[in-house]
Amino acid sequence: MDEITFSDFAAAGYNYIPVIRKQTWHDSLGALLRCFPESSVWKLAFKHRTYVYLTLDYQHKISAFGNTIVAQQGQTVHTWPDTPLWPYIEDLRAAYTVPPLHSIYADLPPLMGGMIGILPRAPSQNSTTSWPDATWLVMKTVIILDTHEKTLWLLAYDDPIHRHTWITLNQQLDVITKRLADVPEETALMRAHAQQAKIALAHQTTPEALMTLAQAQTQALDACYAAMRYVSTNTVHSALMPEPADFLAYVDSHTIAYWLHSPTFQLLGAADTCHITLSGQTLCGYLASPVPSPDETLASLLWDSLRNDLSQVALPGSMRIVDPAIADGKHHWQQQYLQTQIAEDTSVFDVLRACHPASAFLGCPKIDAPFKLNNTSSEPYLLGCQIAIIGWDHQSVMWVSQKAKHWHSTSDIHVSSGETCEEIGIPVIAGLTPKLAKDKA
Amino acid sequence: MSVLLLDHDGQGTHTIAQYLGELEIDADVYKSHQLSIDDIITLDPSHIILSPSEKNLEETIAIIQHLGPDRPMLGIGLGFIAVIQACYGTLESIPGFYAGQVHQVKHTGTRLFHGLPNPLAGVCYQHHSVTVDNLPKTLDVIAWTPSSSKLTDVIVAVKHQSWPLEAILFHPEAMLSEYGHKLLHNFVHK
Repeated sequence: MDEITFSDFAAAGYNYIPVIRKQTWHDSLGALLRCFPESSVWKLAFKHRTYVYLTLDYQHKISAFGNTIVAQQGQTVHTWPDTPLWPYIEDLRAAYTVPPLHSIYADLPPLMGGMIGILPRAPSQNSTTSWPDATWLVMKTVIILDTHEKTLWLLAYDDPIHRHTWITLNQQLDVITKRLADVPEETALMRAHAQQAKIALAHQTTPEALMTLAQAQTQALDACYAAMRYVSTNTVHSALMPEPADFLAYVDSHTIAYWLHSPTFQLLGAADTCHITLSGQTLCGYLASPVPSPDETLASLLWDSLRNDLSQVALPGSMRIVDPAIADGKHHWQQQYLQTQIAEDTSVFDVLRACHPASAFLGCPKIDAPFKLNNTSSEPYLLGCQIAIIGWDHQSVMWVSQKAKHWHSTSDIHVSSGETCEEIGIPVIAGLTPKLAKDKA
Repeated sequence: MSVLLLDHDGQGTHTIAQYLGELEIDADVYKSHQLSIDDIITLDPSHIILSPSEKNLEETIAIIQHLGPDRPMLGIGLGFIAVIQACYGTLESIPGFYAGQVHQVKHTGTRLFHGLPNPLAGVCYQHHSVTVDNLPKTLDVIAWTPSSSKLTDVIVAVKHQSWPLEAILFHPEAMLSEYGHKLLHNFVHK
């Protein structure tokens, strides 16, 4: 998608455009549309009503201070005074629609992107089972195909009240199943071990929990690559991953830019942000760590891992490391930065596979994690989560958001503002928190 | 001159390849499962660097035992572990060692450490090593670090008495390790 197409969409009233190639800074609304496409950003914004700061990559930043919005692109700074942020956000939230991309890309495959989830089986069968919060550290919204129950789930996360809801989408199962049959097996067969996932409950900062969490991230994202490869081989020009929590990526055949607010990092307190950009042949890695670091040893380990990640696809001898620098005036953050050239015949997907999750805690399990997890289970098919993915079925999945209500819907189950799934007749199969289970009973 | 880097999905294998690139040394990285011993012989690298993991330790030990006598070989990190085991040594856990820890490495100044300050900083990711009592008779200690919890020093580098085989427990490619480039240069050129 080029900028003209994007602008046409924007002019037509679409403000959630899941295929983005390049940010521009024509106006503040345009910047916001490009900078705030993802739900976790909204969440962030609500937490900090007076101040929003986002780093798109190492040279793109946008900030909102009270009524002033500031966008920075390299050395160029754009400022819009007397432009309150919140009216923009509220306006966008009130009219959050997706363009009919199929009308433009007739050959667009049904799956436009993907995110796989780490979903234990138990919560789908037992409403009293707590949902592993670690899942939500990895992603926001998932579509799940339970290959054993022959059920398709749409899992929505209602953030403001911290509850989760399952919605069956059986009417589309056959269609989606058929489509999934075209997806490479490595994507369709991603599984995780239920017990492992339970261990990874958030806030359990035991080594085992962290290891499992890292594995969960790895597995989820590895599947994401597979989905992207599927996308790439089906002549889609670009794809935006749909809403993994705290993860954004812009991908096309020539450029990637992603950054990761890793929950692993945050739990450990060792680093906050890691991002990697590839522009042409130049690959950059960036790691921001708090100063003083609560664990300098771990921070350096993460940095070493990041260097190794990038080295996998770098031209030998091309890596240049910039000395650590203090990122802000109050000396809260230290940023480390390295730059390298990618080797010949390296694709953007090679880069993603090698580098993401950047500076993973475990370093090595980027590919092996799914197999390791399966090997730990005596009945991986039954104990493991079945499959999560995949999709973004263009028009049939629509984000509907209004005020404090967040629901995902399909084109044939349209959710109006303020309505809950129960109110519009979508069967709520299981509330995944004790509170919801009690309410249901 | 070419270096074969056997990659076992280790933490720093590709960074080592970067270092070698900066030293203008040709290095080929292969996944360990991609190559048999015969394949390695066919490739005929002048030097081999090992960074094995537990999952194929036996294969790595076999490589060391087959090619160690006449092929310069350096084990790094878990490669150190493999070298010890290939020479029939016994490892033990070192209390107080943890991943990413920076140690003051004292050394003998021999080949691998030629021209390097003494001591130098080295980062270890493993917490197993070998004691002097359990050190195979075919290996000599060439570097060690004081242990906070043991009365004796912890061995962090060894060399074979008759083979061109060396191993270091610390990671020269780690950010907080010192003189990693020089150490790799010594391995290839000294």
